[in-house]
Amino acid sequence: MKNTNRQKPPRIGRTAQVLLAGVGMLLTAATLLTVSLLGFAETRATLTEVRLAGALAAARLVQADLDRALGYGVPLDALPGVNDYLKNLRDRLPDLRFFAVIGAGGQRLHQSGIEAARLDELLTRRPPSPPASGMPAAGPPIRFDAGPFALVGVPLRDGGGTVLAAVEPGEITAALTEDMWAVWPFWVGCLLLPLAWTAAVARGAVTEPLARLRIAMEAAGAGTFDRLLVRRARDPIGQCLLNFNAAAAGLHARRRAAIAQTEDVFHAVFDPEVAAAAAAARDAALADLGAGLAQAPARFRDPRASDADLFAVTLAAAGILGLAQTLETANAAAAVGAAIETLSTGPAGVIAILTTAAPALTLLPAALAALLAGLGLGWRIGWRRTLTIPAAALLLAAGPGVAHLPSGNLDSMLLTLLPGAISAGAVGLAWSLAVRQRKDSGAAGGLRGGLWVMLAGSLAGAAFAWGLSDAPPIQGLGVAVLAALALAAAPTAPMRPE
Amino acid sequence: MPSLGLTARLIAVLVAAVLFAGAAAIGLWTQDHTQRREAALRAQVHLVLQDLASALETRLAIGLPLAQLPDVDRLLDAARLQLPDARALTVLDDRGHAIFSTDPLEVGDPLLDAASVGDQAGGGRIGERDALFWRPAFSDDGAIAGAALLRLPAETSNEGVTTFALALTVRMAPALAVLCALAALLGYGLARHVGRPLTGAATALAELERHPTAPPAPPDRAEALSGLPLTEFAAALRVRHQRLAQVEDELGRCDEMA
Repeated sequence: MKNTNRQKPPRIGRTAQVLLAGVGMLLTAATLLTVSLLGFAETRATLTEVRLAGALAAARLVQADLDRALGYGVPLDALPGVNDYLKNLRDRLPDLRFFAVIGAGGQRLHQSGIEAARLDELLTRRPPSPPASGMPAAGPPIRFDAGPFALVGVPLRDGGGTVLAAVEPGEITAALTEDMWAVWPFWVGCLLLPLAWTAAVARGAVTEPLARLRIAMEAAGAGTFDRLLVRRARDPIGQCLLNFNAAAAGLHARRRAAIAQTEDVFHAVFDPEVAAAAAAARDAALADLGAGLAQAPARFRDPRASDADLFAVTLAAAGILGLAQTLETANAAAAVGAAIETLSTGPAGVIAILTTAAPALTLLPAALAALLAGLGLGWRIGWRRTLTIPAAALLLAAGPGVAHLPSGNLDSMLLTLLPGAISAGAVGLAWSLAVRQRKDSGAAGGLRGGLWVMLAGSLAGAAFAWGLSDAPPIQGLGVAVLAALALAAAPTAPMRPE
Repeated sequence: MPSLGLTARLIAVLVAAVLFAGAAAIGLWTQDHTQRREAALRAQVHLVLQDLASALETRLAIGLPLAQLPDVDRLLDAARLQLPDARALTVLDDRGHAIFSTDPLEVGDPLLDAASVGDQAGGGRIGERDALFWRPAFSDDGAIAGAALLRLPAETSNEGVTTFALALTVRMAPALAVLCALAALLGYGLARHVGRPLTGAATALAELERHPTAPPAPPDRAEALSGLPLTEFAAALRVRHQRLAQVEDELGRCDEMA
């Protein structure tokens, strides 16, 4: 018995999908925002310290040179070319905002990267200098914040003054904001995947069970009581299914009781006319009840369209992410372009490009073959645990391989091919399972629904790949995490055909 | 495998979304921090190496070969103070062999190939144990005399990344817990909202099973929201139960006439 469901989903199903998707998006966005705010603060604090360490190193270089001059008896305020020297040093350290050399009395002597008036204003916030500690300058560095700047200072010999170097933490915030906006595809991927998950869960938890029940009740309304609905926990929908089963089974039981009662009458009566009347009453009643009650109801296990969605979406995302990383590492695009160009240069050029670009040029057909193999396997076998669990486990094992791909040379061909082929195979499998399950279930929307699942998972994976293109270790971790999530959804597949 | 109920499924998917988003964002921020930290560290390293190379070139100008320059160890010690995390600072000859070093054990060892020493722009290389950075030093006639080399332990960078990731995760943990609790609460509320009309439908079906021949009730909101044809189903059940009741009566009369 096929459960062909081509009607519009019920209102409560549509409500569940919209509300769940909306709540899911809000929570995901809130999480991303919270992590980003904390990440901003943590990165700014950490990088400020790193930049201050660099500023301190630069300040010590200046300190060493000025101490030498002071050791020769040259007064600081009479030292020529100090500003140019400071500018030169500042140009070599782009994180540094300005340098300043302060005299023993706290007066400004030299500066680079800041106007004199501004520096004077900042110096009013400087803590008191430590006492002179003899030669050479051995006092600890001072650290203070003044306005938008974080400063470090090192003392010059014999209390001759202080060298100050400053960084600007606010610059880190501006750079971070710009960079985080630049990876907007990553944020889109982070929203797209949970959106696909909530759609699959709402469909599987509400829309499809209700559709199944509606079809059974419509069949019963037409006189066919041939199915008992199964596979559901005791939630409100489960209670509906259970009570439907009880009503249908109760009707069948009463019909059987009527037949048994007729047999009892046959054994009890002596008058053949009475027996014939009882048989006629029974036959007339059975005819009125119709053929829809003739056979005992069977437990109805139907393939559900959304069964494979969670797995397919997540596996497609993981596979696309892994495939994108292997193609990027093997420099596939450049290799194809170079190969096309060298075709016109003759055999020597072709041999040269084949040798240098062998991993990339081998990866592309291998990935295509694996993709087709995944498509074929998924279509042929369908939604089965024997396929889903090994596929997800294989991609989970390949995840770290994506992180540590060697950059293209002949020796590393296999190491590049294997994660790429596994990723491409996983993508093909995910795509075919999404469509095949919809075909098997006769779902409303048919293949179109499966294509949406393919698109959602693939787009999410592509978005992650784009956003994390400079970070192979994070991409490898992403592949492993998504494959693990797919593996968690894999055992929901049946072992045997339904 | 036992099927999860509606509430459990909704809560599970919302909590999974929160945890996934949190993990993904922490991963991205860790990656960004790694890149910035390495850039800042590299700039600091090259500043120190540039200064060291300039100091060597100043001494080379007096005409002595690199291996005979005076006071190089003091230069290396002073440069080492700028980068306390460095494993060693070394001066290499033009073949890449160490001739001066803050680590006496590596004097004489080949630390870099000659071609890399000759790289006029200097370079950096990440090895398994150490990260290597170097800058060439030129003699007066423009020839490469050698290079200043710095070795930074790989753990220095990794440690910073791990510390950042852990710090962000720890700081995020209370907020994640709150968000997961919120997800659970919203999932529970959503399940109740979706389940309410369905509970009405389940009650109606239970009544049908108990009293199949009862008079028909008017269609209610549960039927409209759930899309279930409760009225038609109840009518089909009622008609058949009434017919069975009729034949039971007839069989009863036949039994009495026996």
